[in-house]
Amino acid sequence: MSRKFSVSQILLYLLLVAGAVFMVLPLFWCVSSSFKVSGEIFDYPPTLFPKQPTLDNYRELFSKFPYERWYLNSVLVTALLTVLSVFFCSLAGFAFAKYRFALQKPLFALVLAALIVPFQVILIPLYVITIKLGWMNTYYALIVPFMASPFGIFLMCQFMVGSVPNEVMESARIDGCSEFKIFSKFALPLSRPALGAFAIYQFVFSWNSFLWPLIVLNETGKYTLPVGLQSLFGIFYLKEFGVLMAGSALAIIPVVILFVLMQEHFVSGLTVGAVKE
Amino acid sequence: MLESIMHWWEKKQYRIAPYLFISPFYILFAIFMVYPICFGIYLSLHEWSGIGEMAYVGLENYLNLFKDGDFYLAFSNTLWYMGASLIVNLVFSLILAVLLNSALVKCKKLFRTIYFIPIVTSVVAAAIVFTLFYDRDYGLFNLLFVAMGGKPLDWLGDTSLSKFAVIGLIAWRWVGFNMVYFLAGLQSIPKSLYEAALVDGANSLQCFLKITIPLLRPVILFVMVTTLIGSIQIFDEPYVLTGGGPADSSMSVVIYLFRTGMEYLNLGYAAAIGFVLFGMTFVLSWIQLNLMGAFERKE
Repeated sequence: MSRKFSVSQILLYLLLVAGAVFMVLPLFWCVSSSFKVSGEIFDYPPTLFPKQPTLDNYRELFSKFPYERWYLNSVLVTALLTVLSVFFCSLAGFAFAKYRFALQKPLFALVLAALIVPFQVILIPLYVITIKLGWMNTYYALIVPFMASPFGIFLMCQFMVGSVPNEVMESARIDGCSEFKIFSKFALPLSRPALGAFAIYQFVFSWNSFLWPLIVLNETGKYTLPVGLQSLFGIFYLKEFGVLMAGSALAIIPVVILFVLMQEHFVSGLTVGAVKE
Repeated sequence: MLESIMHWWEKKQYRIAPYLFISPFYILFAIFMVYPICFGIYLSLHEWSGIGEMAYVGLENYLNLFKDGDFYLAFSNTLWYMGASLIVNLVFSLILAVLLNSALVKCKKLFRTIYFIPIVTSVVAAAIVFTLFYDRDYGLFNLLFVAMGGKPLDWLGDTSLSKFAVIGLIAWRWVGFNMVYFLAGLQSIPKSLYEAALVDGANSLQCFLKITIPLLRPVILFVMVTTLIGSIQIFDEPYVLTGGGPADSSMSVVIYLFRTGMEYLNLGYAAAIGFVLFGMTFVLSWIQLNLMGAFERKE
């Protein structure tokens, strides 16, 4: 009996480890290949580790392309969008969760309806608006249209209904707190899990965003990382894969590390609202 | 004077505050969501290349979609993507979740973390790595294939394989993500149900079909609908891997929309394609709401 038990246990682990290898292999391959000398990537059979590790690919990446500029663009856009959208969505979500006011229900229903509108529906009109505003090749085009996130306000409202007790708000009012102070001093700290979850969601969304930046950015120096990588891919496809791997590795690894450090927030935030018994 | 304003404000701010709190959000929402939708409807009824006058054409853009062979191809490719990613995501995510939920497995968190990593990687970067894997002559997938006695396949260059290559990348990115939902669902099923079933002599397959699946139904439905809605909008993966080719064999509706708008400069027609996507999403969301309602009434 106990032997059969351990056999099924070994089988389980084998399957789970096989799955884990499949998930990690592309990342490992990317990092490993980025240190290979040109040509070794196309060795057959492929080598797991670089035979003579080299930094040439990274040198070429930074010397011939404005890679650090793309990185800076991505970091700035992602940081600004994350902070601003978390602020606007939590502020509005707080109003819906904790106040009663005219038109409250229809306004919230409007946001819920927007949840099912795919971004591609507004892609072309938003492109025309961006041109009219003179926002092509600017950070504005990448940040401002995405600050009012329907998902964000929905998540914040759901969470704040329960996490901010009415008694706390009442006693703060008696102490002479302004309404905004109640929001910043009490509601925000009490909603930290939802804030964290939404912030990480926006971060990943913005960092990986590709279609929209591809449309509104057409000057090399203004590219974000995904658009820059795509342009490198066009130049190097089937030639200098090492440079591509170096660029990809630097785009992937910091986010993976950040995720591993903050995963509790991320995972718990995702299942808010989805898995309700 | 100032004092009386301050006094008025202190008395009234409780009533005014919520409007101030929601106004930044709704101003942005109106300009960058509501207005573009309305403008999109207007655009879709016109022919326009971005410069010069718009020409009103009524519903012609929508009617032309029915006669457009390229759109038909993009549409059927997208339906293929929807079906394939639904199967892959439901089957593999559920299997992984059930395995990981087993009482025999330790370090669950470690596995969950590893499975979740692909979703936070940049699609473009991941797709570049995958083109290396898919390479006909040097790629890792063909190496495995040949080792198992198969012939090397041209994953990205063969019209019948390009869609599979896209699904491979999608599976890699999304299976672990969906597994997290299934795992959360599985963990919410009371253990006592299984214990009772075992006492009654049920085997593990019966337990799975009679307890796990019915109790997971809301989660299964959620994963189904989000997967389907996500795959209606497929763009990044085929765009980077194959550019929609070869011979448009992996072109999705969004790639076609992108080409129509950005390359052929047919903005009205592209806007109309956007509303077809909206229609598809709307129908799926409506089905979800109704099924959800049906579940709630049953329970």
